[in-house]
Amino acid sequence: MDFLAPILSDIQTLAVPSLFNIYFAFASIPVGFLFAIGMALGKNSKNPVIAHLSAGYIYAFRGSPLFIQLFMFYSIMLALNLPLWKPLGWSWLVLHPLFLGPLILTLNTTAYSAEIFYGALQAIPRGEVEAARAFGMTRYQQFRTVVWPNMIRLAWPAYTNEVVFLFHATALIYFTLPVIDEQKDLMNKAGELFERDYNVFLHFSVAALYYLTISLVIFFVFGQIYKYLMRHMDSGQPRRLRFKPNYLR
Amino acid sequence: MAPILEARDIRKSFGLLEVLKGVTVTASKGEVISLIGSSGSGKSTLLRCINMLEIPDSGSVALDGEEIRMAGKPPHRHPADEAQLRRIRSKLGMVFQSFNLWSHLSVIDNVMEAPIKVQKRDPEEVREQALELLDKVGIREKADSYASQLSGGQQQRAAIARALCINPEVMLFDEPTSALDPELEVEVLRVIRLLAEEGRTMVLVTHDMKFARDVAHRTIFLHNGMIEEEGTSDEVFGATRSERLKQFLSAGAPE
Repeated sequence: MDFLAPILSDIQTLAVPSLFNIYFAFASIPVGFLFAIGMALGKNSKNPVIAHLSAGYIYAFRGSPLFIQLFMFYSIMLALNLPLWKPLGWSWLVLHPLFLGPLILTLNTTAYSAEIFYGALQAIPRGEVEAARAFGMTRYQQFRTVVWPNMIRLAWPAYTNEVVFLFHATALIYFTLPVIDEQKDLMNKAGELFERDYNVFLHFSVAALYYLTISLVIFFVFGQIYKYLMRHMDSGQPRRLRFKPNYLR
Repeated sequence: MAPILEARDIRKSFGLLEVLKGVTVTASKGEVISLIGSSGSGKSTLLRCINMLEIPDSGSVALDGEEIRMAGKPPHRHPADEAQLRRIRSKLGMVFQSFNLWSHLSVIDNVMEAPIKVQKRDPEEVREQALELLDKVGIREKADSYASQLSGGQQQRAAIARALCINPEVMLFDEPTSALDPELEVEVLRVIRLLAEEGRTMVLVTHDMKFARDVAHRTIFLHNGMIEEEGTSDEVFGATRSERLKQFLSAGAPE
């Protein structure tokens, strides 16, 4: 069982770093979700100013790489340090990767998720909204009764994807922002281990194992939620593709 | 007797196409009125103008003597007072051609939604009434099912129960059986007939001439956005005057 020892040792070494990735995801996904819904409604708004501003925001963040967004925001924050953050005494917070990282991820996921929710808004059954109007519901009641549940249900599979992508994108943060002391994430730590013995297969595989495991949890949780959202369809089960092996004919 | 529902001189255009060219429909309490006409004659649009799902370009709608106040000029004409419109809408029970049940709610929740949320009634009392209504339309055992688990006929009956549960003063039916096959149609027509016999005020857009003749007290034949012929159903079907209507009625009838 000698070959297991280095693997186990890596699993141990990477446990704490994985918490940084989890933290980055947890700190940005819920807030991004809320912002995204507002942004999607904004893009769907009848008010042209709000609609264009929202669409512009979404375009800007969807149209440029997250990597560049991280660099740019960090440079901007640095440039503002002397004139702004220092006098305010905010430098310790605003320039800290544990704050700046989730902030940029939030801005990024807001744009992607907003586009997903906006697409779902376009697909809401018009007749159901009309029925809500015909029964004298206010715009808010229409939203609560028809728009919101349909939007979430329609957007969920794509939104699950976005959440997993975002989790994987947390790997970029310490490539662009400064590493402070021993605050290192999975990729960082794995890179550090790699530089010691150049064992690519071992260290990065174990890092990948962490990503796979955490992704699995996300898939499971989001899948359970999707089942709940789809409870009203035919069998109460989401339809899924089945792998049907056909070895014998 | 003063009419309970008055839609006066309704005009409506979609772009360059004038769909309604000044149509007046009034209904007294307990009256059943059927609107017939070929596709594109404007009968559905007229019905949708009554509860402002379509905003008429001109003309007025009044329920129980209260006129829906309007503001602005077309194409920006709109109800002046949203709260008033909502109040009047919650007295108009609308049944759609494609049912339009809220798909993520069970049948009973569909029926209870508007009474509780819009009319702020007591949930327990509403539940009791909802179950009675589901009984009446014959789908009480489906109370906890979702729309996707019901047949078309059952869905439409659930939609009728939903419309009845707001205790409407007028029921509006927009081609309630057009999306159903003949077998399912029967069960829905049975329910509508029952409502007519109860003395409910109803406006019914339909393609089913036989049913219109049977159930409606008055029939209005719309052609090209105008009323071509109007009268008691016996007059309209039994002693048709207009050539256009004669043509329309004979089109589907066996020689």
